[in-house]
Amino acid sequence: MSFEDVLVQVFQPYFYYSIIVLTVSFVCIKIAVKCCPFLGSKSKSLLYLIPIVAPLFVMLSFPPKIAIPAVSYSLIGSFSVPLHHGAMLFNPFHSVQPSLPPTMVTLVALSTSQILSLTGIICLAGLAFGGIYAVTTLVMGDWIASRLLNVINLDSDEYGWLQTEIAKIAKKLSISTPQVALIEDLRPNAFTMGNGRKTKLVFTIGLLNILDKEEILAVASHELAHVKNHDFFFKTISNALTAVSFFNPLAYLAFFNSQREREMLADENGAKLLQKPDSLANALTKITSALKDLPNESRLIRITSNLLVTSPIIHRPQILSGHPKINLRLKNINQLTAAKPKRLKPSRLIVAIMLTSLIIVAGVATTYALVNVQSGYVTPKVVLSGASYVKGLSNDLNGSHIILVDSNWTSSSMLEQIYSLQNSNPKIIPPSNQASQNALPTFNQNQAAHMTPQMPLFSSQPNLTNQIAIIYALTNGNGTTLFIKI
Amino acid sequence: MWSQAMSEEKKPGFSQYNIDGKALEAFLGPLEANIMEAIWGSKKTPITVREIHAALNKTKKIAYTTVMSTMDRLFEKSLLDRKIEKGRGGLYYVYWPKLEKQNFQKSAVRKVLASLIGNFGEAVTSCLIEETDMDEEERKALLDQLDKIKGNKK
Repeated sequence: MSFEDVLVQVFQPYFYYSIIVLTVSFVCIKIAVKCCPFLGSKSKSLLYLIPIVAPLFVMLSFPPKIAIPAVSYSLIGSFSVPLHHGAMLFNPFHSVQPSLPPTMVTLVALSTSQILSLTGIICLAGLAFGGIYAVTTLVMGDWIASRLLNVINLDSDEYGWLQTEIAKIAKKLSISTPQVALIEDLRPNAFTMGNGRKTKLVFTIGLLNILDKEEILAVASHELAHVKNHDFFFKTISNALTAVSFFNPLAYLAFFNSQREREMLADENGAKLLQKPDSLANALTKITSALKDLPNESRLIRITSNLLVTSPIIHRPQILSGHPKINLRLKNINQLTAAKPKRLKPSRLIVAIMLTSLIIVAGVATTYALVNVQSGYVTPKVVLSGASYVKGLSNDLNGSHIILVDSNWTSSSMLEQIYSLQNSNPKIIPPSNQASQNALPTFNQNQAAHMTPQMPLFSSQPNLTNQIAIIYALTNGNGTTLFIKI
Repeated sequence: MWSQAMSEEKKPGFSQYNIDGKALEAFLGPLEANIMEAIWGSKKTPITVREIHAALNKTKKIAYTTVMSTMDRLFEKSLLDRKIEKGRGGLYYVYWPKLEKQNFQKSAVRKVLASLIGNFGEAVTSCLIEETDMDEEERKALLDQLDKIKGNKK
């Protein structure tokens, strides 16, 4: 695969645009979040979703294709033609430009063919992963997780005090009381699974062993805050969107940033439900220190908790974690008990708004500029209307136009595009009769230099500024080659 | 909890004998006896609380935490041994019996008998002889056995 082939693959709009919008929006949002300290965890978590939502819209607007047209050029040769108005030469190969005398016509074969779009397949795979994951998780994610983690539902009389307290908190939050369950894991942790009435609040035996009642309740409040915030749904959708852009590492960063903010939000909301908000901080500290002495969780638990389970109370610290660092969480919880921060001054608010607007404008401009980079590589139409070739031609001494050689019979719309650069009302006249198509002369590359073009197939309307372009066709064993005489 | 010293060597023990209890229930509580039977009857060794809970639940509904605390107690009594294993569900305890069923029964009967003979010597001997329908030879063998036990005791 040549470098040009790679570019053609990369510059497909569904792939290229989705990478550009994700990258630019992620950088902009990261800066905006830093610049706007008054943003709450909820707003931040929603903002971080934008970079992973944007590629989905790109792919819906530019549906990924499995096959894409590819263009290849080859220099056939050049020959003299008697021209009254001078020759107009088109040649995408800079090495041959521009020193040909005006009476020479250069033949360049432009072949369009369908090739497999690897990036299209990647994008379609992402869409399929995302879709299948979202449906599976929403429909049966809790069932799968229960099976994988061997979740045991508690009877109503087991840990009765805990179930009663959980019911009270759930009532306070106006959510349905979740089923309380256990897993045998000795590592302290807790998490929620499922959605709505199927929600389960799962504790590990390890957690129940090391925490006192108040701390267990604090953990329960944190988890119930996740339920209240619809984090199962939020996480499923975020995961599905990340799967759509699975080929872009920034998608994972955006996802983890968003999840961290949800975690902070659950900490805040959970702590507010407690008489002693400190107990959540104590619980987190105890859990963290207990986990230090225990081996890492198995890969299955990590994957299950990332994909199927909402928000375990804690994750082992790692670079790519949906959980913020423990000291950040403790600081966040402690702030709740401290005096409420003063409201932002109007002057600072204006600065923040202006800065945000600036970031948005910069983001849009960057996206626009980056999107234009690919314009020369996407389709033959764009290739030929691409700035470099056409500008070169219009600077020609003869002030004349176009010129193209093409092996594709169905290229009239492409030609139309080219003419339209100089004529607001272009019209391609199709071959006058079928016989002329069949009677095309056979073409031999060696003969090209001495061949006189004949049998016009298409001609543009004569109202092109000062020339008439006549397109000729020659056929060889590999197909038909078109060229133009002006 | 998991840092509990499990290497501590204790003899499997029970502290009471229930005259009305059937089979193992003479030595153990009903649930303890059921759990021990389930563990001995299981093809899988070692086994988790969850698996025993699932096995017991087939015949009678029982709470997981009850099984968990009972197995913990059986471990304390040294009837079961346990270790932490890393597996699909995370880190969890797996249990196995310290003695095979027959060895346990033998050891338990011996303990009860030793206690009875120690406390009520002659009465135990004559009761045994009266209670059982034996011929002369069997009776002689039993008396020899009892003499031996007594001798050991001294």
